[in-house]
Amino acid sequence: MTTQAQRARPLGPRLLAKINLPGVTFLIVLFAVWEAADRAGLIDLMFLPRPSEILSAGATLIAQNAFLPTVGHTVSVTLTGWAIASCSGLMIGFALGMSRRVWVYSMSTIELFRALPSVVLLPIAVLVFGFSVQMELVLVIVSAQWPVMVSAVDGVRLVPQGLRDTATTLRLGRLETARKIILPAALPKVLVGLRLSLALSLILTVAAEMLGNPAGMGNALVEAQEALQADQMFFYFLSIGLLGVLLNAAFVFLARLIAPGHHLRFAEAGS
Amino acid sequence: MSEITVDPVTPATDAIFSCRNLAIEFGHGAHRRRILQDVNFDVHQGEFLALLGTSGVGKTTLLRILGGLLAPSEGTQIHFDGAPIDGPPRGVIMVFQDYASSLLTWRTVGRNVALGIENSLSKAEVAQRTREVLDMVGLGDRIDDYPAQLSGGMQQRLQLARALAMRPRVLLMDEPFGALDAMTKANLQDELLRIQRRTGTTVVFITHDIEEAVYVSSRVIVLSGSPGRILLERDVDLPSPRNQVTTKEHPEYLRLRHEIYDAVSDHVNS
Ligand SMILES: Nc1ncnc2c1ncn2[C@@H]1O[C@H](COP(=O)(O)OP(=O)(O)OP(=O)(O)O)[C@@H](O)[C@H]1O
Ligand SMILES: [Mg+2]
Repeated sequence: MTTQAQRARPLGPRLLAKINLPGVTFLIVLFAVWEAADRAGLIDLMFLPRPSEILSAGATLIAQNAFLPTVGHTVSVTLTGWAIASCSGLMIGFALGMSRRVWVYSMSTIELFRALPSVVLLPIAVLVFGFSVQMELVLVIVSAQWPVMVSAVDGVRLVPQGLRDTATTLRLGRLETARKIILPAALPKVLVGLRLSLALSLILTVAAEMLGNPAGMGNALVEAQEALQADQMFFYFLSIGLLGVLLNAAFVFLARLIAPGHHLRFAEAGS
Repeated sequence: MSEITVDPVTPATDAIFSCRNLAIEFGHGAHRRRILQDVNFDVHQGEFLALLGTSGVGKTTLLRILGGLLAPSEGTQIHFDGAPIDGPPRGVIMVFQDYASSLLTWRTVGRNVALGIENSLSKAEVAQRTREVLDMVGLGDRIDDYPAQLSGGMQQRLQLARALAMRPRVLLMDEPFGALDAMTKANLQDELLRIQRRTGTTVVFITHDIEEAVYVSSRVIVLSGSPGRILLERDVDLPSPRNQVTTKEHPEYLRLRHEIYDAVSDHVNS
């Protein structure tokens, strides 16, 4: 019933209803207080520009058409890397979850690679791929597939025995069981993994841009810092944060559209 | 006290299920433990057999063996329709105690019912069969809801409807009403009896509730001990249809209840 009621309402109001108004208001008040305190001379943060200065620096960057191309680069690398990582993570994860033999043989290897901090891969990626988009993508893909893979393995292995027994007693075949029982039952866990991976993809893209490939928002942030443009630097800093929030919100929204019957369990497992 | 009413060697030919020397162990090495031993019984066409026993005696284990979900120890002779069981026998459907974890939360009520038949029947037949069984269990108006929107009693009704949609010859029910309150339980007992009379389905029904066992069944088998064996077996000659008030006042009901109580407590105390 809830799902139908949600479906019936148009998209705009539904999105607005998702926004946490008190929380957003608090954030705006926080910035206003900071601005006022700085202007009144109550605080003096040496390198920290006022919110108004950050905003005007941002307006200038946008007007010069310097901002949006960096966003475009970062978003496209994040999403491309995440998509590829998700595909490979899901395929490997489901194979590991469903076949005991594959699991036994590959677990040690996976544990080793998973334990490596992603940043360790950065110099290797730079060495192999140079300062390029490929290097960014490889870093994202290799690191972001772990959460998806692990959640897929868990999702499959933790399918309740009751559901497996149901499949057996209703005489579903192996393929039918995988398609109608195992995969949908694993979906809530998988969605959580996909969401973690998305956040990780953005982090790694920005890190790769800051330390490696000279492009995108990460690189712009570092360049602003090196040019001692604190207002621009903070504008990029806040923009990257906002981008993370928006990507997450878009994902949650799409996930609820794709898996309406799951929405209760997904909400419990996630946010 | 123990009495065996079937010949422990020859499999019965007229029975649906025939179990001889049924035994099963769990665990490995030093932890290996025998759960059931020397269990001999038959299940006959059209009967309502109640399997009664305390918690942990091996009721679920026994039912899973009948349902082909679990292989018994070597030496067990277990037949369905005269053929040895390996895997779920055709026409035998289980209804699990834990209804919440056996329903597909992402499918509507109607699509849950369709799960077992959608591969072999046409769309129209599936729709028609789904309607029919949901009406039978009183969920006709909830076809588009999700299981999470149903009460516990309704979820168990749904699981029953899903089993009935397969037109089973035998229903194996594992404490199906164990988690429900007394009033819902009584309703569902009567509903199940009505459905069983109408469809002629053979039912094997697990419970740890002596009154429930006598009320619903045409025969009671009591399991007891460790490893579990058959302690007692009684035909229940009570008028049909049963009635929650009059049946429970019937002298035969009271006599059976008394006898089974005595047998179980004697066995536990000795
Ligand atoms: N897979 C298993 N591995 C090891 N031991 C098991 C397994 N399944 C059941 N057992 C043991 O077998 C015994 C009987 O279990 P079973 O679930 O059949 O009992 P039950 O009579 O159905 O009890 P209840 O009324 O509580 O459901 C228990 O001691 C249990 O610990
Ligand atoms: Mg049990």
